[in-house]
Amino acid sequence: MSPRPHTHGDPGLPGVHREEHRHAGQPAHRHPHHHRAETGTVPHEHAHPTSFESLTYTVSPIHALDARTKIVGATVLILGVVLTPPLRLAEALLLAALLAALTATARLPVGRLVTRSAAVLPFAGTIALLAPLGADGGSWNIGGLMSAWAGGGLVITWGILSKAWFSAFCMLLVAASTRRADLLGALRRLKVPEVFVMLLSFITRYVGVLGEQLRSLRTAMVSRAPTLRGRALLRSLGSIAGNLFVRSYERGERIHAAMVSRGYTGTLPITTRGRLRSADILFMAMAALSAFAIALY
Amino acid sequence: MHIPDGMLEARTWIPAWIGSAGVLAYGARRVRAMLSDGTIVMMAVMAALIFALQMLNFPVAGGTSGHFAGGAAAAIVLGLWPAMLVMAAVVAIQALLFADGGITALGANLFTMAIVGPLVGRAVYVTARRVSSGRTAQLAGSFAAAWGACVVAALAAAVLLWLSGRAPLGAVTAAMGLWHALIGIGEGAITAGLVGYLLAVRPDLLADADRQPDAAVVRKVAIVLGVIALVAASVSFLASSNPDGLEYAYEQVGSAFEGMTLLEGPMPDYVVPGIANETLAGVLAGIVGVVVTGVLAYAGLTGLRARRAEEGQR
Repeated sequence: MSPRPHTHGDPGLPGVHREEHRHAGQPAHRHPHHHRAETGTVPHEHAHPTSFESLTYTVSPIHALDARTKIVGATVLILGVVLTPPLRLAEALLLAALLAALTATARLPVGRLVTRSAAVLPFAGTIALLAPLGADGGSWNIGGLMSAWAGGGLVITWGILSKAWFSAFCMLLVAASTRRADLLGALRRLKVPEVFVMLLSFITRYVGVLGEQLRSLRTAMVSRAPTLRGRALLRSLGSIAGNLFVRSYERGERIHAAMVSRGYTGTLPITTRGRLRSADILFMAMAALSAFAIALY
Repeated sequence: MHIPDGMLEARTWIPAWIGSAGVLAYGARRVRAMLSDGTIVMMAVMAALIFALQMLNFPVAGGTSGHFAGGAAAAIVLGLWPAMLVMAAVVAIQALLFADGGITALGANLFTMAIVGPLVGRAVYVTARRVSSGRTAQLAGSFAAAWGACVVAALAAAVLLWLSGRAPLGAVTAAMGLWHALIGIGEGAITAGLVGYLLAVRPDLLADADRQPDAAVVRKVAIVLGVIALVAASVSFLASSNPDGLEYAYEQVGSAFEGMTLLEGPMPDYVVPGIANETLAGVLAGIVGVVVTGVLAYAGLTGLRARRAEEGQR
């Protein structure tokens, strides 16, 4: 079968849809069908870290920086953005230029980072549209064309959307330019409790495996009962979750046994031992300066 | 429900950060004291599992879909403190690696999804278990626990947004509450399905979690949350006359330049920039804001360091 590009529109039937498609040498037609791949999970890219994670293996000056530098730098910059009143044009341009320069230096695909960071917009947009309701006035007005109420509201909306988007972009720059192990080691060295870092490292390490198992369980469900709906669907999803829970529990026992047999004594070794160099100091100073410029202007 | 950066005011996100960090640090200590190395490894795998299970999405209404969050399920099968840490790890990794929820807003997101959610879920489930230990009671209890956790966590997020002056309380609670009341049905049904499966296949796993002593803990955390809520409410009451700390400072500084300023509206910082004294006022307000934030952050960090030192001595 050679399907035309499908939009897997109906999340009610995971993997199953009625889009028009064409088999080799036959006219286009439509009927409920599904493909081998689990399509119900596509909107959640966070479930498939590997594709995005591959960006962290790019070679660039930004990638070479110490992970702690990047975490602290991004946090400082975000603090600057968050603490300032709604960004003025000059501030927004400064930020955009800074982030564009960083992205270029890091040799990362701008489009991908932009679209991925835009994932904050649905929720931010909802609140941004609600926010003007709470603003009972504002003295900002576009050339006297709009009422004071609308003017103040628009500024609030812009403030929420721009801050959310810029901040998300900052964090994605860190996530795309730092390998997972380095990031977790940096958190440990920034004094995040060890139990917590261990949970984080297990998530990054095993979510791919468990996600793959979940996908095959769902594919199996869809193959046997393609038109499940409503309560029956939810109950089956619950059974899948329970099944995966039992399997993961048993996997956890095996993992622990394997760790103990390799000398695990209750603490995770930190593999990265980099030192802060002049480039790191320069980078942090630049982040702090930009943050101050934005917060204080 | 992941609140991004820039949506919460400093008067909300700083207390939320300090509160959540405190509760979770305490939880981490409890977990270390309570669980063996092997159980902690198990808990870490469970964190990965909850993260993977968030891929489970289901139709909600009007062609949109929600996804399984897992806070109540974790609280039911792991117990309260492990569930809080597991959810905190999930929320933190989403913020760090996927920009799903902000860094300054992380404290608030941890509060709603990693503290309120599991706490409500555990409390409802334990209560249902006390009423009856039959299968039906457990399934109904898990459904109610997950639905309640979903809705109450959403309402907590709505209140945080309201405290930040982001929206009128009515509008934001209605929007968040109604939406999550719908999503909560899916969450509840999946959680009940999970518990039903475990009852049939591995009832021993559920019994393990049941043996955890949390009645006292649930009460203790409820008191802490109550105090936080009271403080937040009184702060917001004080703040309601001064819409925002920064704005308040701005206004105070602005009044020092009386006669030169054009700041008349209740939101003076939205005036078009360009006037000299106004920029100056902005700079001064910014400095005040940064100093206040710095002092708060320093106080929070010192407190945490003291706690860690204490922990080290034990």
